[in-house]
Amino acid sequence: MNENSQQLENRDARRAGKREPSRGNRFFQPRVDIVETADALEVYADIPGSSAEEIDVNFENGVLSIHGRVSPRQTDATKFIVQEYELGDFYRSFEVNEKIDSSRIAADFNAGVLKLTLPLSEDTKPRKIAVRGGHA
Amino acid sequence: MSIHFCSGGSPFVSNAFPTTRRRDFDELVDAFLGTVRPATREVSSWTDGPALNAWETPEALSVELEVPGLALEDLDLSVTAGVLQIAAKVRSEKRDEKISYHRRERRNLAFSRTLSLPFDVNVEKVEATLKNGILTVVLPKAEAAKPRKITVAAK
Repeated sequence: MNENSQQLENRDARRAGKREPSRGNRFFQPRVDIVETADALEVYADIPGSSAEEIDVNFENGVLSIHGRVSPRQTDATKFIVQEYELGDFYRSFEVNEKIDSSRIAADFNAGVLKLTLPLSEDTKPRKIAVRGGHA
Repeated sequence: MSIHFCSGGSPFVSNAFPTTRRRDFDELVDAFLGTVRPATREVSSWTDGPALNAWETPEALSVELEVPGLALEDLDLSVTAGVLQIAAKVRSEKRDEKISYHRRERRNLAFSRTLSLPFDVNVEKVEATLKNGILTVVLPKAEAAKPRKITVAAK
């Protein structure tokens, strides 16, 4: 599947309020803070258990999507005494109404928190963003 | 859409049935509505602290919590009278005063979770690691609590 149709599918999935149809696994929505500073939008997303290599961030046509894969940490044979949550990937996308300079979007993953900096500008070119490595 | 069950106020985990039931119900609702699960990973609300998983191996009890944004120095672990307590201070994130929030969903509250240990542990050898926002605490069993193979001698 090429990137464009994947994008489209993600957006359709979001609009319909559904999981991505290409995957059977459950997704969790990461909690986010979105703040606006004088010159940028900053997005902080909690994606515990993922890593910089496992996170895809896309920004295209004003749609920001975040997909953080989470690898299993226990085997199926694990004897849980308490199990209050299950593991799954994190996925969420947003329509960004502000004009963003997509050439300068920065992504940083640290201690389970993805920080995206979207500089405000007139430029709206599609772009895939590389996620920088964590320090913790 | 999100549906929450409020499981009682006590963070003391003595059995896992209420949360298991809640999960089963959530799964039914998900299957029916075909929804992406909202991030309802808390026990019942923001103030109860992050959800907790614990599992047993022949040698130890492992406990895991999702604590994104926290550092080891923000966390406080103790074992007292067979109860493990994991507490955290408010996350210290410095942000400019002039910013405006579009969304503010992330937890930033002090919490304390307790878990009564099902067996005696070797308190000296408890280890905690924090990686990518996951706190894992390994509590080795005390010698007396380890499974022992008993050989039956034939006479």
